[in-house]
Amino acid sequence: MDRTSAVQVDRKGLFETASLRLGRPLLWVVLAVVSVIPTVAFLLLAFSPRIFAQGSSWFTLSAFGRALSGNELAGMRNSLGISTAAAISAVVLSSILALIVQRVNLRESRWIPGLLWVILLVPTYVTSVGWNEVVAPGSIFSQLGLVSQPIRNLLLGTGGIIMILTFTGVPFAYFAISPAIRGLGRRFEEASRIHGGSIPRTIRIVTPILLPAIFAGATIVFAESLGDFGVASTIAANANIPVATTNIMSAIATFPTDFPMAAGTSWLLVLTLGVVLTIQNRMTRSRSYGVLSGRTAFAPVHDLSKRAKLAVRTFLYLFVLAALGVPIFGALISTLFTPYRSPSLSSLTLNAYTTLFRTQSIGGPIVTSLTMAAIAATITIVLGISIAKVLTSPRPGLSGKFTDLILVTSVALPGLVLAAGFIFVFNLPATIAMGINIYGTMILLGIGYVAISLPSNAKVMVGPISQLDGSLMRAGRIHGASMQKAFRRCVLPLLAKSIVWAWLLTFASTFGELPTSQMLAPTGVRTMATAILSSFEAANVTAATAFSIIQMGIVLGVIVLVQGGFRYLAPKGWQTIVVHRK
Amino acid sequence: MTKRIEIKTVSKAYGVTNVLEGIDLTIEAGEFAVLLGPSGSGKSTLLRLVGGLEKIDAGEIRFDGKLIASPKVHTPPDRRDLSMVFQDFALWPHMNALENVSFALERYEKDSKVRRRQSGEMLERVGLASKLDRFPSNLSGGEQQRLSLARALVARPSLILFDEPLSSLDADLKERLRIEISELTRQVGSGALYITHDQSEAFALADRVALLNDGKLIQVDKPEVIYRSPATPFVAHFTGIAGELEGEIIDWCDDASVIVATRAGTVVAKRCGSIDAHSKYVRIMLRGSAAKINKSTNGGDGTLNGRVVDVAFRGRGYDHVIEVSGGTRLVGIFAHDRWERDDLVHLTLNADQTLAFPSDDAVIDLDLLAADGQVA
Repeated sequence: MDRTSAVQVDRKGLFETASLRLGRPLLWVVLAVVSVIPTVAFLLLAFSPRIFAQGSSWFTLSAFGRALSGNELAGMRNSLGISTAAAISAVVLSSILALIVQRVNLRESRWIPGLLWVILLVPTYVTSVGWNEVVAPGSIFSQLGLVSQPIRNLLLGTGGIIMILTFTGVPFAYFAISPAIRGLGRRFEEASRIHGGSIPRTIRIVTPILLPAIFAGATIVFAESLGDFGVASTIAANANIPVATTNIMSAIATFPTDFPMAAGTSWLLVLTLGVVLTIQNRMTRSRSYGVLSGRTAFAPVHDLSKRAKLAVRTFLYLFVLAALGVPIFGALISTLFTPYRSPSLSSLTLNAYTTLFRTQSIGGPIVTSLTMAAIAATITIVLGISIAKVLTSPRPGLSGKFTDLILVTSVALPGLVLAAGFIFVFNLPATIAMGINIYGTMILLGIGYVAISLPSNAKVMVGPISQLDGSLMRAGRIHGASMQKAFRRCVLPLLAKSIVWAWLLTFASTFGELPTSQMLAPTGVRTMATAILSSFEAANVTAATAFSIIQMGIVLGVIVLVQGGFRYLAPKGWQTIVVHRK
Repeated sequence: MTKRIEIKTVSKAYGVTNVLEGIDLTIEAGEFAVLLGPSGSGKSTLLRLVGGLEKIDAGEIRFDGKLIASPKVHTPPDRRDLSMVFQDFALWPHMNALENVSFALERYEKDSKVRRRQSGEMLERVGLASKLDRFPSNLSGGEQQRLSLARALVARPSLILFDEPLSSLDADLKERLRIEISELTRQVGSGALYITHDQSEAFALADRVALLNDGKLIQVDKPEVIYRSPATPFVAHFTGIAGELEGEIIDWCDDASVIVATRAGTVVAKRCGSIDAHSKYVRIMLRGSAAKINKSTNGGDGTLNGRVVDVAFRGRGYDHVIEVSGGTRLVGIFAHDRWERDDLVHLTLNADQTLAFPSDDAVIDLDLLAADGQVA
């Protein structure tokens, strides 16, 4: 080796050492800026407004007093009731769906997981707006006499809120419960039956084994419903039903702003989730429910009688109709007919869509959301992979555990609280004095998007990265590749498929992200979500629905484009790889 | 009370695959029957049909003459008076040891105090008296297996089903638990249907062994009969042979044996399968215990010359691999003394454990062997 190449090797080595040593601290800085500091500072404000020049007291509980009285208390009560109802009904529905998929021989059941992913990608405000459009007095369905006033009242009130949050929660609960039912296999049921247990007794014996999954599913749905802003700012706001998230929003967005009270209400949300998570942990950790072993015999699927098949099919079709069919396709049909006219070919119109382009300058929100979602998804993926690598390290150490704790907390933290924390921290005179003057800019909106999607993105990437065998990277290094080259050539291809899906999921959720956009978008900048909400708030439900349909179309188009591009452009080997841990 | 179990022409298919075809088997009251067969032979399916965990396609199953399963009748598992030891134990993880065992008594005993007492007694018998309140996850593999056994025994059902219960345990534990299963099952007086693919386990436990292959019952008999007089080459193979030779019958000794010329030499073999006066070509299967190793001298009929290829120490002696003339290797030839690799030896064969089965094809040329001087 000559002197020049030796120097190059040394430089490479130096770069690697530096990146290895600086990698983790750099991640902590990122996590601190996008998650810990805004959240902690905002929550601290509830106790000590004077620290942030928001009041005269160094320590006070008055914010909690206000958060627990009047409209705020009613909002909290409503949020708890609605979230509990949604969690229970989502768990029941998803358990039935999981049983159908795992245990019944039915052609339709293979479509259920894909369908649930679609439901997951539809923001709750889009579903709300869709239902509003369908049941509106002027809609084609009302003109046909399919919607009566009592139905309208039910769907546009607490019942409708619970229903939408239930359907949105079903995928979360399903993905928690379904693997547990599959892993349960048939042996516990058979052991019960053969030792004299009747069918009802067997159900009572086996259900407790599924409790961890049922609790996990219920907790996720509860947390998602509690932090929901989409249904809250549409159906709930229209029906004058106060909930915690809209109360936080109005405390911050209405003059005079009351950050301490918003922080107090946020505390109540966080504490509620903390209590629920603690109960879940206590109940599942007190005993071992590990049932999956290498010898698990998965339960066979059963052929049903004709009558039972009909019942199961009816249930499935009704579910699809209520979760997706009516709010998306029903709303689409509704926008294609002139309001308040009896349906006929002559009342078919594209007016709802042409008006958007003529009067609402729809191009602006589309370009803004497309650009921001693409940038945020890309940054999130890079950070997500780095965090997943720390979390899956064989020796995670204290920093790994700390990172995990931040992530778990962030996943549970309502997006609205995080966004409120951003407004508060980046608006502080002290922050501006430090030269960080990004409040009201697209940069802060971008950071907000990354912050909101980073925890779930990192968690999604933990799976594929943990499956990678460390020997792949080591083999690359030992055969002469630098760290970057070994990662690029030996590891990245194995992750490519997962990365593409994680990018798409982040893109889709950011493209339609409502609370962060509503709180952090600079004045005069409209994103898809804020444009839809402002149309809805201006009582132009048809325009909001048409906007939603276009939004769904764009997301679908990007998914098809990116997946198609990957299929045709990525090397063949990248697409056929299945990662297995040895 | 134990019952006589009759399985009559039972068949079962999954889709187009026939898993069991026309099975006829009777398990006498209190008998310990073992279903022996390789993976995929249908033994687990047969066990599940008896247990009522699957429905039969054809035939019938009767308990003490009472029809409990046919294509039109299906008595559910909980009404068949059975219990079962599962391969992966299937202990309910949220119930402690006492609750797991007590569950099996609920169908017979309404008084919970009596159930607790009887369950406690059974747990004491399997050595778990001090672990009544432990959850399955806090027990070792052997303890879990004993708990599973206690659950199956406690109600003294008419039949206990064993689904390869020892397959996941290490050798030492396996032997200890095998003895416990044999002893305790016979003590409580229940009948047993035990499935395994391990012939030594089957022979050690069974009153009678039923050998299954490709969904058909091949032979049902006492372990000794199966070992000494296997009905087919498959049974001989599956119950353990040292090696196989092909040859031609050159003489008939008596009703029980024949003299056969093989490439390795002339041997006297026991007539098995359907050998009759018209049989000419045979397959000779040698049990490991058929051969005794001697120093190399030509012995005559019933002896084979060979060379030691490998030797393995087995504690109470040595297992040898010996290559005989013609290139066939015989494995697991036991001797108390060690023979070294490349030693030239001759094997004296015990005719009772040298088994001759009819074969359709001539694979040796007798004239050529005569020219070589291997056949007189």
